[in-house]
Amino acid sequence: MPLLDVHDLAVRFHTRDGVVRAVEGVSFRLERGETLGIVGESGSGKSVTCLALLGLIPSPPGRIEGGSATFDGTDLLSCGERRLRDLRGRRIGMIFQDPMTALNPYLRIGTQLAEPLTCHGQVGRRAAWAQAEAALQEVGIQDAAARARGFPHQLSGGMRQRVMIAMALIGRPDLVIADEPTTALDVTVQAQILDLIRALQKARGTAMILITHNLGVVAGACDRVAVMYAGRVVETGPVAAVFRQPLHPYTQALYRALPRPAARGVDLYSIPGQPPRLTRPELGCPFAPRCPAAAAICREPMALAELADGHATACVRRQRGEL
Amino acid sequence: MSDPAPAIGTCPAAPPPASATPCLEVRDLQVGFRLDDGRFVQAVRGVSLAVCQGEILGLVGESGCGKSTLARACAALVPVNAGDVLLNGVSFHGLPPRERRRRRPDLQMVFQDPYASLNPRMTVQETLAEAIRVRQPLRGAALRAAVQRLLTEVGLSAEQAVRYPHEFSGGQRQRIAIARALATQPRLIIADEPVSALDVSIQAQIINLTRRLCRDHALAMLFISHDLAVVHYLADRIAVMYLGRIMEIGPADAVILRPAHPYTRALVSAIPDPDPTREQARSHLLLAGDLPSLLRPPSGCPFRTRCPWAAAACATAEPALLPAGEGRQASCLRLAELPPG
Repeated sequence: MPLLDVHDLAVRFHTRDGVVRAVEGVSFRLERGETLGIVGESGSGKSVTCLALLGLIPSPPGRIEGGSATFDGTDLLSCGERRLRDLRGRRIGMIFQDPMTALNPYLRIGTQLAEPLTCHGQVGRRAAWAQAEAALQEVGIQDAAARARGFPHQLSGGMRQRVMIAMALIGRPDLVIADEPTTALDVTVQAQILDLIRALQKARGTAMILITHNLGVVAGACDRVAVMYAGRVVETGPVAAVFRQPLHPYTQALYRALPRPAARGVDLYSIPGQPPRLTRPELGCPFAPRCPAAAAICREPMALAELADGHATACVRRQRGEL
Repeated sequence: MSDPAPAIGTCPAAPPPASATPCLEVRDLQVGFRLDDGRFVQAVRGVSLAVCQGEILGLVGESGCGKSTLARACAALVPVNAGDVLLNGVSFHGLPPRERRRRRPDLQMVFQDPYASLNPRMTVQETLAEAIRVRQPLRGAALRAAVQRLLTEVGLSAEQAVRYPHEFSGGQRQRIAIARALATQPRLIIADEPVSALDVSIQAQIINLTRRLCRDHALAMLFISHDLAVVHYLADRIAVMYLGRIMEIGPADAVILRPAHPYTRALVSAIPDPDPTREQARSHLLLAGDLPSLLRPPSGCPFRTRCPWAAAACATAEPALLPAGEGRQASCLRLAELPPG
């Protein structure tokens, strides 16, 4: 049984401009100890998917309109706020993009780190503080005892992100959801943080969902990848297979649009047009209006179908062997 | 502090300089700020470089390295403490205000956030017309035609001139910002992270546009980015900054594919490769620690606190930018002793 099984998730936002179908029919599985990368451009629904799993969709205007997300036997979407609060921080950890806004500027770092432990009633305050110091040490923060007494503004961006990682891992969770954990960091610091995440994950066998728009980060840190476009998963599979032989025209286009040394002096491939508006219900493939291989069949309803070992695409023409 | 770096003032062999004087020349520039608490931050500490006509110079470095301050000092948007900025051979900061205003249209800037840099209450027509009239006294139909030519040039349709910035997507807004920069017929464009806020597919469109415009108008461009892949693709030469100083400068392929300076090596090694086999096979040169504070920069080489090859001498002597093969210059005392990259 997988650790997390998301099936047919649908999230909509009821706004003044209409119903925004942010996530539509998203399904994926995550085994214990595995890292799944979710990639896509802004508005593709990758963050909303994960916020939905954590019960953090602001409602109104957001609403989970369907589907299930079974985490170790519990359906996260229907289990209720109390049960969710019990899971969050203890069995599911979170790392957000911007550590400055995710940390409370008024609380000492140690207090914030110890909070998940004390509020789940696992340990007393003193033991929790000791664990907080140990957790800081573990993520490579020197002079952990002094840092635990300090405040977030006294740390650099990379150090704050280390605190966020320590906080996500302090309850020894089975699953960590990291939403663009390195996007706000410089490349040399990003390399340090990715290295740290990989090492800790390996040592503890924690499963992870890593949301990013950076294909390089996925290549370096993930086992499997799901590519999202306009609220849907258009391709999923092992990272090596998806990047070596993308089976969806959108994945191919995304990969070709990356500036690479070999492409110097020639125009980069760029996807024509704009991403679709999510307020208009689209039956068929959402990428069809921008796709060079689109045909009439692309207006029919689409679904992921596995074509190779664990490698699935939602491209109907690819499924029919026409590409 | 004032290491002589004479060779940087001259242009490299490729691309061939169209004129003897570079469009932009920065000589031993020092820029600092006084903080609220009275302390002084030296953001740019003795930088010299030159950009020739038709050339794109990429400027890379991490946050706080002084690349944006350097850009603003070049455009005289912040006062300089020492050194000089020359536009087409004339000192920009030394000019009397009226003369400086007359020459300012020669230099245009494109910023990271096109929404913050466009006036939300002006239509595209009004924004571009205002910029065109700085140099050309057009009005009526001729002015409208000029606006339409600009819009077409950056890949927007003429009908979109009547719209306001909020009606456009991020990529389209950046096209408008580029059109506005072109409106004064500049010789030099300073672009500060122009594609960093855009998604990959849109980023590719703007990079292509930038490359085409530079070529067609023989523009000189200082292109600032923290994304080495983008800079490598676009720039002819690349300068790498760290804590207000240039660590390495030279032809793009040499700097990125065969980096000489330890910091450039670490920077290149830190870019994740989108090819999973290559990414998981290669070794990363991980740096220890964080960027030192500019309030207390390290003595000697600014990079020595994080450099895996630092020696005792690096703390005392400040290395000068010296030729380091393939037409590049690097500032490292131990360059000859380092293992091949």
